[in-house]
Amino acid sequence: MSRIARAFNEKAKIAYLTAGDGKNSYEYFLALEEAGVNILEIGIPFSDPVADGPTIQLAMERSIQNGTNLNSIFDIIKQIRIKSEIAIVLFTYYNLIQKNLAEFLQKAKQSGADGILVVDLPIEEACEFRFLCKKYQLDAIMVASPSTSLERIESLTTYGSGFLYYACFKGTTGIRDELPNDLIEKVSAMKQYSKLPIAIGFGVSNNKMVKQILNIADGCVIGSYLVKLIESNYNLEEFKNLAKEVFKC
Amino acid sequence: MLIKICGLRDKEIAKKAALAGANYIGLLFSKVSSRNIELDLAKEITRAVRDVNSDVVGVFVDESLEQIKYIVNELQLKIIQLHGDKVRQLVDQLAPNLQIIYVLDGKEFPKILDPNKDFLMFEKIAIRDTPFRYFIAGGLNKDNITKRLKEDQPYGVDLSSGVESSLANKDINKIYEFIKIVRPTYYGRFGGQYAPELLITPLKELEDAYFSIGQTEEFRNEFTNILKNYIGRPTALTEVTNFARAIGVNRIFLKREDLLHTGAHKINNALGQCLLAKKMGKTKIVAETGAGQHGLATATACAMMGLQCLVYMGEIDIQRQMPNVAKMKLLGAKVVPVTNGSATLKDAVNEALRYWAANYEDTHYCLGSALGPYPFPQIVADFQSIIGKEAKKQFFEATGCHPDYVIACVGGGSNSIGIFSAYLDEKDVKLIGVEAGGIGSGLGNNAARFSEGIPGILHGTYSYVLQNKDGQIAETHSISAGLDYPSVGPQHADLYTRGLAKYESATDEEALNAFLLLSKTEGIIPALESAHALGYLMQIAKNLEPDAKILVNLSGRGDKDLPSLLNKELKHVTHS
Ligand SMILES: Cc1ncc(COP(=O)(O)O)c(C=O)c1O
Repeated sequence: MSRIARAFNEKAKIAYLTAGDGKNSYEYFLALEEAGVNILEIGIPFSDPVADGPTIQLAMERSIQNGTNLNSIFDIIKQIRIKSEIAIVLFTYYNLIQKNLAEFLQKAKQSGADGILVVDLPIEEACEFRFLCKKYQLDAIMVASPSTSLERIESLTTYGSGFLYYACFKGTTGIRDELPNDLIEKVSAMKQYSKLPIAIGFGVSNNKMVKQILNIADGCVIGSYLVKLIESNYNLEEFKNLAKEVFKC
Repeated sequence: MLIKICGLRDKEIAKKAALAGANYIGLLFSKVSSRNIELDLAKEITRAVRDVNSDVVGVFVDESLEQIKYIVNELQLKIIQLHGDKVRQLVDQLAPNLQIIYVLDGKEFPKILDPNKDFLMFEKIAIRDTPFRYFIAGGLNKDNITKRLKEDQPYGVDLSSGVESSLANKDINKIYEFIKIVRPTYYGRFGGQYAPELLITPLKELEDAYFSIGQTEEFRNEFTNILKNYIGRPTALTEVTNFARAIGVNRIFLKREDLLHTGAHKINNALGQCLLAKKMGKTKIVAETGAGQHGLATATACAMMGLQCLVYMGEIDIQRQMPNVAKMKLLGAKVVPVTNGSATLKDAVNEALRYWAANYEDTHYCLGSALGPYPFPQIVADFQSIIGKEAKKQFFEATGCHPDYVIACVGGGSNSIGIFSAYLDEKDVKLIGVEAGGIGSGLGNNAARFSEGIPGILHGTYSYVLQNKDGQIAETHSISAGLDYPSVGPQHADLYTRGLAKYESATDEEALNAFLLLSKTEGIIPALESAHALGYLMQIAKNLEPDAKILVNLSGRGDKDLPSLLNKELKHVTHS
């Protein structure tokens, strides 16, 4: 059983951080595991992240300034793998990997990644990507959004694997206080069509939202809230405690 | 979707097919076929095709193992296709070292094939339930392909007789047309829809509206009427004899988009899109702008049609295009400064895309150039095609012939595709796009995508992009805000790749010189963007044929540039 599948044996607690933001970012990822997270999303910084809001944009800028590139990302994964068997999903924009796609996926796999999510690669453009993910035994994680039709949910979960990431807000990533009103209906309708577990993310930033999500879905993703903690310079211990707090259930 | 063109026997066509987007060129080794190829010619084609980053497939029907191995070795083939019982029996001996396309016809299935490496090919009915990637083949043509794609959901298509003009003679126009049907969101190798999932539905909605509402006679009549009575189309074609004499060129004609209401070609597209948006029931428009011309055009269209308007503009561009910012505000638009990244056009596009993603239900994104995910390049090129249609007719009326050169500046590529599109079928007309040469060569010093960029993805489209070795988008520099953008419309990347247009550059200084010279000699103050086209013409003037006739698209007027220029680069003019 893959690490990702194993994470969905219970409710999946999924945490995103931009790699290379702050010193020794692998330590923050490991701290998240101690905080109860069972899938790590490792964001690869891109200069023009159109799907991200200000918090993650700034994290990406800091990370690029720190010199982060694909090789340093693979190093971070390897360092996590020395200590941990937690599931790892890489989050990227397509321009960073398209030129040497096969090589990238092979190295990602060898470093210890389990899945890849490409923010700006819809299924229509993802033929080769999906094939290569299968070849290198990586899960191709697909995203659904509030504008995605139910029919399309079926395609997304036929072509994708691992889990379906439902980005539940229109717009970009970023901290929000409450979930959309119609989330429960949306998700129960999606479940009829989805062939994969569903994790919900985008905007999740407090424990109440986490609990609500885990009540109706198979997993919950937190991103900007955690990235903001790094931006605020919390030390490792404080970061871990705050992460534990927010994911507690 | 992989595209394989099978049975080619002409080196030039093979290369053109590859450049038009074919992934594989099939070379047929079969003594019984009229498409059979000799080894020497096969070698030449192989070299030509690999030169342009596609590959050849050796297709074998009735060869012996020795002969296949000989040809594989001679051509250094990596992939072969096996047809017919005789060669398919050899698969066990070939598959370990080669990638195989195995033509399956219901007979027994060789175990040696590997779904992580090999392909199947179905000539009749595809069996969709297989771990293998598969091609469909067999009499695919323009009329049956759409249905077959839908039913068979293939990974690739194999074309042969459907793209021939006569037996065994491939026709490059048919190939190109076919590729367009198979990959409708692409222009040859470029284009596509690399957008977050959230935007896919709004993009489809826009595509549907454009192909239904946007094609009706009623819509076209209304649009034409606005172009005529609101912005003053058709624009003049002016022969500039003083300027021509000053730079030693026989005849130069300017297509006067500067005379349009709001002062640039951008208004053509803004009106078309806003009209479409209104008919789609949208009440708000968001736009990005660089030079402010597209922002101004959109604000104008919105004021006229009663739509709310929000314009994102880089902080640096706000500084250098003050008059346009003031006008937009006057027209009731909200102008939001963008301070992220390089605070220029690219960053304004990022913000406009983000806004659209959050508000697509009541908002249309009025993209200002032939850029972005499909269908934007298509729509913008369509609404700008009026420039070329008029110019072609006017030029012919004035001279009795077509120009030798058509020159236009290329930011995102909308004014240039607008004028080029009318001449794509005229083989003797040379099309030249002029990019911003900035302060000279070197990443970051210019916006010369074709000389310093490589193919990549920015803002939803696959095209030439200025980027560093990690794939991070590079900063750009140009004196002109409208050309200061690290990517370029996919149609231009395609024209460039297929050799149908050339792309050159003019530096800041060359553009400024042209700006001054045209003003002085003709009483026409050009936009800095358009001055790049003239600046390039000045570079090549002395090498032109003595009887050369040139058409330049004067995409806009220079009023917007004056305050900033007179404060800096042209300070001496105010003080003299
Ligand atoms: C007058 C003028 N010409 C040209 C351009 C460049 O854009 P495009 O390449 O889309 O025509 C601009 C862009 O702002 C412009 O304002």
